Amino acid sequence: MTTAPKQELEFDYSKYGFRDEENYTFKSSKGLSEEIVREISRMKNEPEWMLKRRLKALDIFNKKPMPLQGMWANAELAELDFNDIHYYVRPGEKSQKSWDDVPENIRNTFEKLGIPEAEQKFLAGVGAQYESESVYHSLREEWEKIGVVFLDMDSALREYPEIVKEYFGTIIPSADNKFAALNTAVWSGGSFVYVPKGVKVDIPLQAYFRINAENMGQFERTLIIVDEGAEVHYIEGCTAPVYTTNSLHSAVVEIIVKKDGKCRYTTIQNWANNIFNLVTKRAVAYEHGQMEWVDGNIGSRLTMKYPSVYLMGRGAKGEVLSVAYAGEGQHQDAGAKMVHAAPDTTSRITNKSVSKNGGRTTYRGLAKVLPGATNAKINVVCDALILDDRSASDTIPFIEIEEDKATLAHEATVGKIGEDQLFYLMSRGLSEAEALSMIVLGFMEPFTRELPMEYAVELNRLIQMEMEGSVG
Amino acid sequence: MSAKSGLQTLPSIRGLTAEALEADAIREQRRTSLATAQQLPLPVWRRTDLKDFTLDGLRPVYGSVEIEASAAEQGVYIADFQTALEQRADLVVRYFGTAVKSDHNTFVAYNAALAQDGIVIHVPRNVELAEPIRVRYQLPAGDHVIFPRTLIVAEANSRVTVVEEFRSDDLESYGAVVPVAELFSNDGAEIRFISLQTLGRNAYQLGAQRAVVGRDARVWWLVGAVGANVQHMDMEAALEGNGSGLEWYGFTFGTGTQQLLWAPTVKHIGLSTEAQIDWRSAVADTAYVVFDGMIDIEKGAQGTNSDLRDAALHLSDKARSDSIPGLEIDANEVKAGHGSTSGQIDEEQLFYLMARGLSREVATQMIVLGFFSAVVERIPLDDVQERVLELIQAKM
Repeated sequence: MTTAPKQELEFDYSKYGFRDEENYTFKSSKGLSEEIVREISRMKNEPEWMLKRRLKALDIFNKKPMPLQGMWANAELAELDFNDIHYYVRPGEKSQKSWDDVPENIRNTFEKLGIPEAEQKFLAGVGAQYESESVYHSLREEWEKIGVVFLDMDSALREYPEIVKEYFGTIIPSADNKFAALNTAVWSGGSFVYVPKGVKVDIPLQAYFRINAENMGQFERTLIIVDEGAEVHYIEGCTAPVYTTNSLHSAVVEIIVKKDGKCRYTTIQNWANNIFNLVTKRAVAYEHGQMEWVDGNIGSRLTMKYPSVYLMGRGAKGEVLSVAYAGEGQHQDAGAKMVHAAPDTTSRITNKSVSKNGGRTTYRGLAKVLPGATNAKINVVCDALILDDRSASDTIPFIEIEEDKATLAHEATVGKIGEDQLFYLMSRGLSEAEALSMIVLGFMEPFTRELPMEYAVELNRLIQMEMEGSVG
Repeated sequence: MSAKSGLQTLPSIRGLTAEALEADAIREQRRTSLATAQQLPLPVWRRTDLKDFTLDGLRPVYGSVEIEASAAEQGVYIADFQTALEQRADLVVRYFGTAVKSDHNTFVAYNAALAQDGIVIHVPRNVELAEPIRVRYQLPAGDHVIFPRTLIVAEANSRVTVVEEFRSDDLESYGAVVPVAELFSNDGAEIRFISLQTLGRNAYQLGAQRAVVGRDARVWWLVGAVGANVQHMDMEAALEGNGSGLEWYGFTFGTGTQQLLWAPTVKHIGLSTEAQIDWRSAVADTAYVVFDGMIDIEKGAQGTNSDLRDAALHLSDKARSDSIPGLEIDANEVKAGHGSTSGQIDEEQLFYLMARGLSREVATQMIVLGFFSAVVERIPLDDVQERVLELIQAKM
């Protein structure tokens, strides 16, 4: 650009950044120990096998080095002090099925965030987690009647212990990485979804994760099982107030898509800029199953998240469609992994990222074809925009092909906004800020068009232009 | 021109002491490097398997280099490395170990300590060498290791073309080539550098090459690998000068159980630098080839234009190719992109050629040659182009 734009592209966080008074029934002291793990399990009245699982995972967590050292190094992880975090905060007694039974201050929080309203309008079920525990979980009766299960994970462990035991940790074992081990040791909350054979849930389920306290660690655990021929769309949103100290969000999400099943998992991550968001998300898709991750990373201090699909059955399909925005002090280190383990499997990764005001975006991905996955097809497209000279972008794709009858194409571009594009829009009477905003929205459009309309509108509203020095 | 006649062999690397080092103008560096080499562990590489390999039992051998160049003209200096250390110590000392740091890894450190075979080329300002300089290294036998050292200094506005090749027969036991090349293309100069690896069975090639490119200078660089059991080559082109440029081509043809890796990085440092990278890899049998490339655009490198392409062709269902075309970008007024593809022989193409009366075998060969042609056709020297085509054909 001949002249640097004087306008700033910023996200307005004021709608999400409010804080509540703390009024908890339990708040563990800072730091992690075996006693805290035992205490969590005891308070939840868990079966013995889960306690054992937690303790083993704690051991793995303590022994495992920080992930990605060496090749996948991320020095920013050093800013995270594991001893400065509350690992378990219990906001109330139990998860409610009616908003009227949710404590008033927490209910107010979710009302401000528009959750009950959205539930009325277009959702099949809603889960709301506040700190470590689910405070509300409800599924419309029509879905409950035909066998769909949508519970918080703790309730699922009580009500469906056999299913949870059968699948828990099978997709992401504790030893997968340090943060998966941490989650397994101290997990609390999250969603359990089971969609029976042939049932197509045609409006989304939503879970909303809210952190309120300072130096908080939130470790929800989600397990989604889509049975043969079934379909579900699960949406998660996340926000927190802004503090000057760091908090940690480290979720584990495991998804099983059986034969002919279909699952879409949409995330709009809008954590405050002091939150380390270190999440492991993985799905397996069996014969002709389809898994789609729609992943929007707008907030957090550092996000490291690479949603994966293991294509285990013939004809399975995987897709990751993601956007990342990194503003001041932010690093979005996100990507996707596709592992083709069966014939005729296809996958597509589309990643769009924007960095601005010193932010950094990193796409890290793996596209792997194992021997015998004949006719596997992979298509990867990554595009990055860098809006100023303080910002940065990386693209680190790993491509590993062990099968000759496989086709892969990977394309990436990084650049700035075209001057001619900007000039054209401004010649039509738009201010530079408006033109910039329009171009960025257009750039992200392949992502936003996949969102439910209400979310697309919200995301677009998030991206607003503010004239530097304008009266606020 | 030829280097010392006859081969000289040292005792094995294990138990090598500083007394074995040449007492020449870089002897202090050699001593330090030997200590470093002996101290550094074998690198742990995720995509190169060294579990059956150690330098320890190998014996360094000298006299492996053969240089072919027309008589020196217009002040151009060309000599084998050890001769240059005697005749032009100032030149060697000034550049030695400045492009490729001697502590890069244990292999490079051993090279810095032990290199005698090699070539030093100095091209004065404004001199354009019409004829290419050709350098051949022969690893004579198994249980031996050679340490080729290439130093090319092209002064302002000069031009030079260098073709090097690392060769050996099939070896009875393991042997190694540990080459290090340092290229300096100073302001407005152009170096064209071709480095081919055509080693035989049981050979390892483990080395590093780096080019430093000045203002408005260029490097045209081609590397190719068809031989050896295992290859791991770290390479970097540093576009330091404003307006500097790089064209970089590579090819690999892996068959049998070969494991061949190229790791080229282009670093954009100056303003308005340009780079174009294009790589072709074919894999057959149970071979494993790796292209680990990187475009690194440093802060302030505004006006960069960089593009990287790589393609892998699979000729067997047991072969493996990895491609890691990275981008690390810390400047915004840039254009950068990469594209990577992997696939097999196109059945339709094959069918078409066979319908024209070609056997499946010949048709396959034509398609494979066509796959490599994007790189081969760029080679500016007819005889090298022919040599490369022969090498590719011999693999089929």
